[in-house]
Amino acid sequence: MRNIFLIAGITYKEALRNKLLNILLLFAILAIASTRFFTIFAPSEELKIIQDTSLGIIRFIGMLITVFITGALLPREIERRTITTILSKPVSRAQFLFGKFCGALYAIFINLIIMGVLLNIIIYLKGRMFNVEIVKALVLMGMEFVVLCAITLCVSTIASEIFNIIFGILIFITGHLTNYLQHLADRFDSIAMKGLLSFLYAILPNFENFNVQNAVVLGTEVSLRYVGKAMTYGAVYTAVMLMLGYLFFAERQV
Amino acid sequence: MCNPITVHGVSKFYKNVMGERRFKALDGLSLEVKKGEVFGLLGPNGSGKTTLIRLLLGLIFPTSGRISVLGKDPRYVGYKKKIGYLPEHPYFYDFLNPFELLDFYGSLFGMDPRTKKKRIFFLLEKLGLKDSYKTQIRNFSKGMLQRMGLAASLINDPELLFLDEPTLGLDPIGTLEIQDFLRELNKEGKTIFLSSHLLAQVQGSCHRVAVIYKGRLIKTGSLDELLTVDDETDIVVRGAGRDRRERIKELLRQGGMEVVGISERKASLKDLFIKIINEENKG
Repeated sequence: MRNIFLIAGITYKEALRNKLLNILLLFAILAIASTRFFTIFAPSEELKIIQDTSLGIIRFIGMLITVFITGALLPREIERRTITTILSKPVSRAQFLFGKFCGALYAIFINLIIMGVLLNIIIYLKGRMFNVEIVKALVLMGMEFVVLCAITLCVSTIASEIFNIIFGILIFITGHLTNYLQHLADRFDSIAMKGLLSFLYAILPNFENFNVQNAVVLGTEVSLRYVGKAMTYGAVYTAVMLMLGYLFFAERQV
Repeated sequence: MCNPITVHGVSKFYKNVMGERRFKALDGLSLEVKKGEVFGLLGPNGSGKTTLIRLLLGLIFPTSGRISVLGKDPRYVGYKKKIGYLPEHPYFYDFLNPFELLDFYGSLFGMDPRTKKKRIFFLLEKLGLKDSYKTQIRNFSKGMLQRMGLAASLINDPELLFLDEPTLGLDPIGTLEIQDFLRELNKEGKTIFLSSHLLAQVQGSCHRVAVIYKGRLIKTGSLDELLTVDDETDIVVRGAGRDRRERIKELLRQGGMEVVGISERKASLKDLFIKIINEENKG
């Protein structure tokens, strides 16, 4: 456990120094803060627009931060050979991989918390209220980033940095369109196509499970039971991705 | 008691993306390193020296053959508590300073804070990095990086050291200091496995050497065995000017010996360089 925390700590410190990520966070902060000045809409609509726009910004920027941090983790360590100075110490490959994962998540969560706190401040300033559904939406978004981080890390055990980043972005987009695969499967008569589409629906991540943005904006309550189910789905998918990543990394020559 | 390092019939082929064997790095290599010796692995660039060290550390895996380090398979992580490794071109998290980096590595070994801090300052002092202990490593010269790498390899006071080109990037004085330091470590009982293509440095440091070329072991043995030229003896004479040399040759021929060569003894350029710098420092 100690080694996992040590590696997570050094990973987090390295992520803080990434200028691109700091620029993305700054952009998100400015974009969310600017929603405070949406005054062209009717007051009842302004709060909805602020919540909808800001959650969209947080999801998009959070996704970019996740793939840029995670996609570079292993390839850079291998390219710079810093990994050899770690793995020549009594650190197992599992500890190294899990430590990198935890360090990346720590950096991602810090960014998510900063953006989330700012959004809540904006909402309070605008509507003199605290919307607990926003917190649920942000928690689910956090789990979405955990799953995306695990998938990107798994791929990064065998691929280059550029490939990992592009793959991460594509899997994020695909993950939000997964539900259409099931509808598509229903429209085909061919058993092979039905089977293929159903298989893809089963194995691809379904990020819409974590998307409660519409409910929040419309003022509908998101039940804790739903949050629990979505978090469980995320945890299981993450565990599978980490195990797969470890199987690849255990045989990776560094 | 088993030898610290045993390599038996090890081959390493690198594959391409299609899984086909493309490059042979090592071919049926076998060697043993005894406890407490300084063992040198010699070979030109690309002969497989670094590949062998990485196999011994479990960073890469052999295609065939067996390897044992401190009695364990290199895939086993536990034995790494007792080893230290200096890579050929040391790479570190360059946003850290020497103290932070050694503290990080020391923590990976589970060292207690007091022992760790004492050990860090001992190594920084010994390797000439004490004045730079708060400087970020990204600002270090090549020689300082090499010293940093050596400090990192010794943080846990290992019983077995792997040094890949330990004096790379160091000037002659720095090289001498490192060689002296390695001799000290060996006197403490540490086993040292060093790889180098700098022959003079290996000659000054090692008990036994192995020469590898194109992945194959060509020759192995003690330096005495390998370097002694049969039936030839060096004799150093003081006071024998040019006018006396012919007389010396004649005396030796009368004794039934063949004189292979007589010339003025010359110091090496390295010795001259060190002498000049030491004199400047005293002045």
